[in-house]
Amino acid sequence: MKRLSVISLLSFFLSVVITFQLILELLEKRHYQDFLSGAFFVILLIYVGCLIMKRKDFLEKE
Amino acid sequence: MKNTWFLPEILFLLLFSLPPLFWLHDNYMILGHDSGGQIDFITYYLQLFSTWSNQLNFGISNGLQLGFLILQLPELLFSLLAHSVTAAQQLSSVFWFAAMGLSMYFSIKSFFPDKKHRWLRLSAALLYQYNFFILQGWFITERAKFAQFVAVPAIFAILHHCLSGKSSVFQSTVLLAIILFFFNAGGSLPFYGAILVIGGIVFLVQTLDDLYVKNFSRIFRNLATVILMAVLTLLYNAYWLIPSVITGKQSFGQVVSGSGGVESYLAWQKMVTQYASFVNLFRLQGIPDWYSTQHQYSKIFLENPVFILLSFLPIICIALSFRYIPKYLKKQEFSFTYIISLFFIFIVGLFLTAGSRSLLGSGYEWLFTHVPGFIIFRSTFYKFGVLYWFAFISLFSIALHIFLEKIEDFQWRTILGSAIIVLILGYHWPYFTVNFFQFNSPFSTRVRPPEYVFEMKDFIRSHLNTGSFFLLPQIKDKFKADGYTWGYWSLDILVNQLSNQPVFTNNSDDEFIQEVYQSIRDKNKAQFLEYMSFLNVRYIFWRGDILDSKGKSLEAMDQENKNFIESLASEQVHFGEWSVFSLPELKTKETVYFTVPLECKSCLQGKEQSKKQNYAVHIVKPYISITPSSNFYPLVLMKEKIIRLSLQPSFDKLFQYELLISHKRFLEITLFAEFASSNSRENELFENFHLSLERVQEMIDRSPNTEKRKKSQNIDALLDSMLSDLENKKDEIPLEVYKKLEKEILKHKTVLVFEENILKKPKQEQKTESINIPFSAYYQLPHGNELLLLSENQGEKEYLLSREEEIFVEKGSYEIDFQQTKSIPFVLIAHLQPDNTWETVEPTKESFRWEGQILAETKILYLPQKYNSGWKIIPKTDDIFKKIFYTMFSAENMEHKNLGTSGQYWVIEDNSNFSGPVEVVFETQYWFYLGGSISVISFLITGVIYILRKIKRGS
Repeated sequence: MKRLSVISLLSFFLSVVITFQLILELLEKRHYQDFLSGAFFVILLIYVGCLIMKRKDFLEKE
Repeated sequence: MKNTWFLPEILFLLLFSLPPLFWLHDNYMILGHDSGGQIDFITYYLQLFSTWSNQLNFGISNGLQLGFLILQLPELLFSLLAHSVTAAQQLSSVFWFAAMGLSMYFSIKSFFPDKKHRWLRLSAALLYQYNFFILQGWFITERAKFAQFVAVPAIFAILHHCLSGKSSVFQSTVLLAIILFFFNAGGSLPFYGAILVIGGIVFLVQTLDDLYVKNFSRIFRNLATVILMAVLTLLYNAYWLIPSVITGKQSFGQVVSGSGGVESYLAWQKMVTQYASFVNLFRLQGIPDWYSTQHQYSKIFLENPVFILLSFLPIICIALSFRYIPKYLKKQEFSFTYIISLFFIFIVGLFLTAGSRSLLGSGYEWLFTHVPGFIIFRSTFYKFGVLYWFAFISLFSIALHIFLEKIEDFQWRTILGSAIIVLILGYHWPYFTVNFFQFNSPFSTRVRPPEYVFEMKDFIRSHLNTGSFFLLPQIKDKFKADGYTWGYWSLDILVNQLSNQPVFTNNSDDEFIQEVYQSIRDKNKAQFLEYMSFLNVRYIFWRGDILDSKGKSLEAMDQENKNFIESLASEQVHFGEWSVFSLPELKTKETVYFTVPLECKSCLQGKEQSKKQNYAVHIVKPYISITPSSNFYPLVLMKEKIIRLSLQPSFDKLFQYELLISHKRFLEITLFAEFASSNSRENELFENFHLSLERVQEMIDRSPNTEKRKKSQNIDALLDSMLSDLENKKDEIPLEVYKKLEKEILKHKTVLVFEENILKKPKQEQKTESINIPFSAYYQLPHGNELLLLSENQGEKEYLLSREEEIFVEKGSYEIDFQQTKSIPFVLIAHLQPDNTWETVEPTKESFRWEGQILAETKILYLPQKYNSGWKIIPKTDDIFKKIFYTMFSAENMEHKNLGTSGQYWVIEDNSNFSGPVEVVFETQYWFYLGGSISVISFLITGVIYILRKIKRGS
C-alpha cells in the first residue's frame, strides 16, 4: 500500500508539473519551462524506478 | 468469421489513409525540393541500378542510394499500373499512409487483442498516421521516414514477443529481416539508429527481467536470437549495405571535412534541435520549420490558447494515467516488460530527439564528438524522433484506454471514444488542406507542371539521344537550386528528369563550369565552342520560365546570352517557355585538351560567397534562458564574468566565448527589441553589445599575426550573420534599434576587415613588409592554380604566392591575378600535347565503366568524371567474374589525382606493366553485384529452410 501511494504521489506531481508548464505557455512566461521539464524528467525516472522495484508484486499472479 | 471482428477497424484506418487522393487530384504531383518525385519514374528507377551517375556535370556516386531499389518498389509497381504520374503518386502515397497506420495497429493489437481495446488500437494507429512529425515528412513525401515509421512498431512487437518466448525464433527472425528488407529507409544508415535503440532496449529489459526471475536459459536463447536476427537482416540487405560501407570508406572523411568538419555537423545538429526542448516535445512539437514566420500553419498551434491547451492534453493524460498503471500490471492486462520497455523508449527517445537542446545536451554533444561514426546522426531530431513519437503515442493510447474503461456505460464510452477520434483528426486539420506543400511562395512541392514540360520530355526521348545538354540561363539562386515560375524549386535539376544524357549547369561552385558561363558573357565564341567540345555538349537548353528564391526571373543579361547562343546555334525545337538549340558539329576528341584561362577574377566573387556560406554553418545561435527583461538578468552577466575568469588560461576558448557572448547580446536586443527601445535599460543593452565586440576586437589585436586572419574571419562571419539576421527582422524591430545595431556592427566589421593583413608567400621569398590589403584578397587559390601573383598599383613589386606559405604586406592597394607557372598536372585541364602524352577514356553505355588505351608513350590517363577513389583501372575483359576479381583485388596501384570537380587522372609510370586496352571502372558497382548475390542467396536459403520445416512438421 505504501508503495502504491508513492506511485500516486509521483503521478500527481507529474500532472502538476505539466499543468504548470501549460499555464506558463499560456502566459508566455517561458523562463522556467526548462526547469520544470527537468523536474518532470527526474520524477518520471523515479516513477519508472518505483515500478521496477515493485516487479515482485506483479509477478505474484503470473 | 470468428477472427474478422476487427476488419471494420482496418477499414476505418484505410478510409482515413486517403488524404493523398485529395492532395493530388487534377494533375497535381509532388516534385522538387527533397521529394525525389519524378516525371518519369520508371526511367529514374532503372538508373538506380548504376552506382555512378553521370547525369549532372562531372558525375556523382550513387553508392548510398541502392536501398531505394526496394523502398521504391511500391511506386514502381503503381507507375507500371497507372498511366499518369499523378495517379501513381496518389496510390503510392496512400500505400505509405496506410502502411504506417496498419503497422502501429497490428503492433498494438498484438499486445491488446480484445474487443474492449478498440479505442486504444484505433487512437494509437490514427495518431501514428496523423501527427505533425509525419506531416513534415509528407511535405516532401519522405519515404525513408515513412519506412522507419512502418518498421519501428512492427520490430518492437516482433522482438518483444519473440524474446518473451511467445513466438517462434525462426519465424520472428525471418519476419523481422523481411520487414527491414522492404522498409529499409532507403538504405540510410542514420535511420537505423532508432531501430538499434529499440532493439537494444527491448533486449535489455527482457534480459534484466529474466535475470530477476532467474530464467537463465532464456537469456542465452535470446542472445542467440538477436545475433541471428542481426545476421539475417545484414544478409538480406547486403545489396545496399556493402556498397554503402565501400562508399563510406571512399568518401566519409572527404564529406565530413568538406562540410566544415565535426564542428559544422555539431552546429547543424544544434540548429535542427534548437526548438526541440522537452516542453515542446511533450506537446509533440519542436519541428524546426514551425518556428519560421513563413510556416504555413504552425502559427495557430503556437499562439492560439485553445490549441496550446489541446497540445498539452495528451501529456497530462499520460501523467494522470501513471497512477493506474500498477493496477493493470497486477491484473496482467499490461505486460510488465512491455510497459517498462515503452517507458525506456520514451526516456531515451526524449533525450536523443532533443539532442543538444536537451537538459542532458552536453551528454549528446560528448557522444557526437567522441563516439566514432555518431556524427551520422547530425539530424538527430528527424532520425530519432520516431522513437519518441512511437512511445508517446503508445502511452497516450494506453492512458485513453484506462480512462475510457472507467466509464461503465457502453454507449457513453463509444460516444467519448468517437469524440477522441474526431478530436485527433480535427486537431490535425492541416492534413485536410494542401497548404503544407508550399514552402516559399510560389514554390511548392505540389505542382502542376505546364504541358510544355511533358512535350519537351517526349521530344528529347525520341529525337535527342546523343550528346550532353548545357543549361541557359545559368542558375542564380543563392542555394544553387533550379526554380521555375510554376512552383518547382529543387537542388535536383529538372532537365535531368527529361533526359538520360548528361546535363551541365552551375549548380555547384565548379570553377570550370563558371568559366564556361563567363565565355558566354564575354561573347567569346571560340572559347565557348571549345568548352562545348570538351564537355561533348550537343544542345543548349533554354528555359524562359526560371525563377530564383528571391523572386528574380529572366534578366537583360540572360536575353543577351540567348542572342549570343542564337548567333552560333540553330533552334532545334521550341515548346512553351523552353527551347533547345543545336550546336554545330564539334571537333573530335583529338582537340579536347585546352588551357583554362587562369585570370579567374570572377572566381573571387564566387569564392567569397561560398566562403561566407561555410562560415554561416559554423555559427550557432546561443540560447537565451533568462531574458534582459527578467529581474534575474544581472545573474546572467555575473555568470559570464565568472566563466571569463575561468577561461583566462585558454586564449582560444576565451575568444570563442567572447564571440558567443557578442552574438547573445545581439540576439537579446533583436528578440526583445521593444524592451530595448522603451526601457530605461536600453543604453545598458547596447553598451553591453558594444563592449562585447570591443573585447573581441581587443583579443584579435593581441593575437599573434599568424592567428589574426583566422580570428578576423570568425568575427567577420559572425558580423555577416548578424547583418543578415538584422535584415530579416527589419520589419519586426523598431527602426531606431535597427539603425543603432547596424551602425555598431558595421563599425566593427570595417575595422576588422581592413586590419587584416596576412597573405601567402613562398618561403624562399622571406619578405617582411607589413601592410593592409583589400578584403577580397583573402581567398584561397582556386583549385589547380599553383601560384598567385600580387602586384602593387605602380607595378613595381611582384610577390609570388603559393598555397602553403604566408606573407605580410604593406598597406596599399593591390591587384591579384592567378597565374599558371607549371604545366601538367597542376592546371585544371592540361595543354594540348602534340606528342599525345595525355589520353582520355571514353564513355560506354554504362556510366560506371569507361574504356581507353594505354600506349607506351601514355603518361597520364584522364577521366572527365568527378574524383572518387572508387574509380579503378583494370585490364579490359568481357568476363564478368574476372572483371569483379580485377576490380576488387588487383586493380593497378597508380598515382590517382584529383582535378577538383572537373575530373581526375592517373599517372602512368614508365615501368608500368599496364598497356593496351583498359577499363576504368567504379568499384562500388561490383560490390553491389556481390552484395546483391548475397541477398538473393540468403533469401533462397531461408526459403528452402522454411519449406523443409513445413515438410518435417507435415510428416
